[in-house]
Amino acid sequence: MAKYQCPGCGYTYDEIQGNPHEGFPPGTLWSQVPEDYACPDCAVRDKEDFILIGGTPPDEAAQTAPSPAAAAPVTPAAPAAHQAPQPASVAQAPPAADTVYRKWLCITCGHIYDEALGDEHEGFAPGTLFSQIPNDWCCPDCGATKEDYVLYEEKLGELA
Amino acid sequence: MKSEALDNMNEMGTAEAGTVEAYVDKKRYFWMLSVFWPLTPLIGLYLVSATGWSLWYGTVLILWYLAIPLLDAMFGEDFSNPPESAVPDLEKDRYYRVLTYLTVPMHYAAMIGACWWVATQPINVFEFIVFALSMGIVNGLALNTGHELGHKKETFDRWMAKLVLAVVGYGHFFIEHNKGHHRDVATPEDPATSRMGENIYSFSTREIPGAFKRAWELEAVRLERGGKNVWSLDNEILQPLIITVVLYAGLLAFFGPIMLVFLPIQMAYGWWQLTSANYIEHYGLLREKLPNGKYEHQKPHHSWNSNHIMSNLILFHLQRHSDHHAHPTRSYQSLRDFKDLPALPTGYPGMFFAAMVPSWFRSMMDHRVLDWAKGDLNKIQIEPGMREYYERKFGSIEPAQSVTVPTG
Repeated sequence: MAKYQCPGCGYTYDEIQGNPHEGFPPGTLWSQVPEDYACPDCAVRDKEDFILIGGTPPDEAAQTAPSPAAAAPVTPAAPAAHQAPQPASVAQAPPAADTVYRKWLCITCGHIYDEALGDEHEGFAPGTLFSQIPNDWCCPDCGATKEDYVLYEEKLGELA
Repeated sequence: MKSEALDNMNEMGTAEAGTVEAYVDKKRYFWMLSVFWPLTPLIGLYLVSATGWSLWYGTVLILWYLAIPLLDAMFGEDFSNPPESAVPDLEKDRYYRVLTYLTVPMHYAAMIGACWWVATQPINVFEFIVFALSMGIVNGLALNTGHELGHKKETFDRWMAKLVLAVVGYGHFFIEHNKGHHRDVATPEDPATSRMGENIYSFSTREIPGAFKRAWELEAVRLERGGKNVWSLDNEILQPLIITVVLYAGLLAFFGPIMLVFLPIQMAYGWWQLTSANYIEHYGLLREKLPNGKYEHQKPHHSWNSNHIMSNLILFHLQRHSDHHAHPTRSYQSLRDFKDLPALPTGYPGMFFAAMVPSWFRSMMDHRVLDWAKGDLNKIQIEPGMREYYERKFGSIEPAQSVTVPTG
């Protein structure tokens, strides 16, 4: 059983509970939800945008799911421990929080800022941490503020 | 007094950036204007009885179409945003939510008071029509209250939404709006998005039936999934409809046959307010279609925004529509302004009025739509048959050369 979250509004679909009001009885797997299903709370995001945030989906039972996911509420507190950019290769870093580059998701439009890649067009060299980006920087895609970014949790399997 | 306070609020708001101390919401107590606004017809009636001037039957019309636009021009726009760190507390603060609850009985009070007056007091035909239209405007704002409540996730809030929407007989709104309009906004699939060059009258013939059809289809899909009959009491379109029927039947029984004239007029004009809102909120805007056949996500620049402070304060921030469509579950007190949003020249009341004069509305909005699309007519939703007209009119403007070469 797994949980999936709408990256736009934070609505969470929990397979254990289903969503009886929407016609999904408890135990309905995410895979059984229609492909064109839109988030019942905001309708801005569709099924395919949802992010796995906990539990184990049946097809990835072998993998460990990410630790208790950072829930949607915005936590702009960027990791203060990062002082200097570390342009070294990420691949070898163990998946401990303070040595891994993170990705940040614009909750308005879904733009992702990847610290490892930086953003050349915006003038951020690879390895520029999100905390080093000026506070008045805006999302290059939609103009949302830096505060509108949330930490983007990914499946650990994709790291390598 | 009041104007000073509002002015202060504007200035402090714009100077807000970078402050660290605890955030104080300058608009906090001004939101009560949204709560008491539905009572304006009753204030009008009081003035009629106090002065004997029939002019006061039109209190709402005068305020809505004349005074508010003037005050919007005077007080101008408020660009201030709550800092993101203050938003969780703002969202949790029950005060803001309670205000929306309190607005619901106001609509019922205004409705019952108005019906009592037209049934029992001497009133001539002209006064009657003016007053029925006034009620229509206030009941149009029942849709605004229902809109704010209907977006909330709690069952109680959604029931309050159904209750308040029932006053104006538009209970299917929160299904249609949340799951239909928000999904399809600024695409040709959305009957509640107007096209450039489409006048509000032909828009209404597309929007009103289209909205009902979409609401019914969405609700049918939901109920079928749960194995329920569409014609059951679980149908969230039928629930508020039943409230409407009971309410209107009660008013008819109590206040007599004059209700057969009064109720339809105020209801129709109430619906017209929603049509006006839908008409101006996304006029001409279009989301781009991606290679996978889907539309790009709803971003702030897919809605016309208005930061005009006076009208926002009586509309629960509805006019900060850009943020609303990007984040539909955000509460009214936390809605933000963004940089470079497509902006309306005045608040909704003034725009609603202008919309009823199509040539005037187009003269204000068409060039704004064109600027929004950087001169590229292909990025605009244009009314069929109007394309040639716009090509002649705007054809001389070259599509802006994008600085960065778009991929693909």
